[in-house]
Amino acid sequence: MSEKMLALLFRLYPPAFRERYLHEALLLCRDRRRHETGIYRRVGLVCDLSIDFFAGLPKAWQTFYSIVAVRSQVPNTRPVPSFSLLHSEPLRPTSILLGCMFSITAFGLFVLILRTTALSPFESRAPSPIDSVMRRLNQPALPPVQDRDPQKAAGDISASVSAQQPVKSDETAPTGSGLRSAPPQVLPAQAEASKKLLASTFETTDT
Amino acid sequence: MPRRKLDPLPSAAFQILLSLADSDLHGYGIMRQVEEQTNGRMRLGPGTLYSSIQGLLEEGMIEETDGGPDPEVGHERRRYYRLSSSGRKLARAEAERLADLLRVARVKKILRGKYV
Repeated sequence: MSEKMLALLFRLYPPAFRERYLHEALLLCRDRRRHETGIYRRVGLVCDLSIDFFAGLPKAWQTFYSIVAVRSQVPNTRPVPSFSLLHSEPLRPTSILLGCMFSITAFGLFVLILRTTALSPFESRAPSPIDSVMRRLNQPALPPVQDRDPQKAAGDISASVSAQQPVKSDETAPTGSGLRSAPPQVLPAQAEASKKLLASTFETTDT
Repeated sequence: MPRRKLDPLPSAAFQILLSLADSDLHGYGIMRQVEEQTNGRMRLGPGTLYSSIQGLLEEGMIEETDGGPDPEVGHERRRYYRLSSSGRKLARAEAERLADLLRVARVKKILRGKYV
């Protein structure tokens, strides 16, 4: 691990810690590199430094926050109100630029995800339970087939199919609400067929 | 509240206090001393070492001195660290606590052999 890389990684540590110990940490790494020669020891050194770097990160922040907390608990002895500054280091322009870039990327991703997942499924998704129930309610009721003779039943079915066709074409068209305005009216041929069916059932019951 | 942060005393901090018991050392010297006294089991990297040192400095357990360059490792000026009296007390208390643990382990026959 080069010194530049270590210095870059040290930016993840608290600013006060970095300011105080970065030089010493670099010296320590330099000393270790000088003493630990050979490929295996060098690989071990890099692994050791990487693991230690990420292991020491939470502890450094914990110490930093505890120092800040202790400082904030010190009572103000002066008669005027005072403010204590936690960070004296201002934001760098590169940090601001990076922050802007991340914000814009995050916003763009959010919009993209919203478009692909939330808006497009309205056009192609399966009908909702309410839609399917409304469709079933709008279908004209067919008379039971077993009580009729085959010729009449065939005529009834053809009549009902011809009556349903405009309704079906109407149903396939996409609608926003999924509600139908009114049930389809019964055609004269279908009414006549149902009358005949009723008459035949009454005759069978009389006999 | 000196005991709040170092109670219980972390293992790395205890090893640093032990390493400074004999002489003042800089960061790399502490690392080598800890490695030696633990038979190579503990090797402190810069992250753990300096965060522990910072905690010990804040609690007043060690003090910082400017000892100049170390001819063994280079010509750069280095910060040296010294064990303070409260640090020595804390190290003694921790050693006694560990000795008590050892005694209990020996009574329970968990620990056998030639241990102190």
